[in-house]
Amino acid sequence: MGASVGIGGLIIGMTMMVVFSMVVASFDAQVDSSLQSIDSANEALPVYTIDDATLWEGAVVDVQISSGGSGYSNGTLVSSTGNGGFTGTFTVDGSGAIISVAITSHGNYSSAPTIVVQGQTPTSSASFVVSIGNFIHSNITNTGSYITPLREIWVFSDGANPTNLGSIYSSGINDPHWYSGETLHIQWSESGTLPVSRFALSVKGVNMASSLA
Amino acid sequence: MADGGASTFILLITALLVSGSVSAVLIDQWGDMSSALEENRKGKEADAKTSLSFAGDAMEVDYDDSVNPNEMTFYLQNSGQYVLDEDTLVVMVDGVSVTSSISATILPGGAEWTDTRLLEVVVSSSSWSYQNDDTLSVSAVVSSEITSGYRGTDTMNIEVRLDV
Repeated sequence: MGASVGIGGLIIGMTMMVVFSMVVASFDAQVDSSLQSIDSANEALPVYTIDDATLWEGAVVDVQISSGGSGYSNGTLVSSTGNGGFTGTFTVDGSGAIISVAITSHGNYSSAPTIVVQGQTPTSSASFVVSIGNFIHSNITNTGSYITPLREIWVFSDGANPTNLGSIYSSGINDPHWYSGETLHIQWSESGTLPVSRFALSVKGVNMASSLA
Repeated sequence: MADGGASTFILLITALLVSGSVSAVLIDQWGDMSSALEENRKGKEADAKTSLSFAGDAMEVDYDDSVNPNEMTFYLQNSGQYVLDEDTLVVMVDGVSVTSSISATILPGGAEWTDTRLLEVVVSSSSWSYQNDDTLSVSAVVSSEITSGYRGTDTMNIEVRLDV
């Protein structure tokens, strides 16, 4: 009988230990799960600086082909008036007519410059219609550790006209990111109300603004 | 001796039954507590992953006094991980709710206010008579879309300067 009592006590003790271990294991799992959930919600905040921000009020913002001419080969466009610094490239069709233009440097002019083809003698000369307008240039540096997708960054002029950086920054990379220590030169055409005096940047709730030089 | 053995055996069986009952009650109670903890955790997780922030230039918040009622335009960014429900947005200007006159547009166009999108908010009130460079307090409250059965909520408060 003494052995039976001992075995019975052992069973009771084992049962209580199993229950206790189940409780502890379940509690640990709950705490781990909670901590993981909360940790995953706490991302590092972006930290960045606006190194400079400049408004060019006479930048070439659009070049339309008025006459494509003929006898050209793919080449470069420059301005023949002013010293604003415009450059562009163009492509031609089978007859050597200019069919597309891409601006590589918008420059800055007091009046619309005359755009010409550089260093070619065509059969028939092309002509262009040039529009000038506001262009904002800025250098921004990621001084934190948060690697920011450009599609999460918004730029503003005078607190309005929000523009997604992912839509204006061309790096040739799909879904580009802004890495720690990296400086980006961003530029975009500003069609808002004149005069524009301030530039602001918003990234995941962190806002920074700068006056435009 | 036989009586003593029987009584000991009865005690043993009783102890087994009691311990079994206590175990069952403990397991049942722990199950309830575990469920409560899980629900609490999901609620806190939803709140932690719901975040609303002002976006743009707080020094240049657009205020149009040429229309009646006057309009104020500002931008809010989803800075969390959950999709926000713009229909739950509540805005207060200087502590006064303007919920009945809110126009909200997701930028760029989209059906959901995700973490890469802005919300353009236009609020108006016939009682406003603000001037250029006036400073006022803007507060906003928003809830997330229901995720895993839970909505998170976040608030945003900021002092802004008006640009008329």
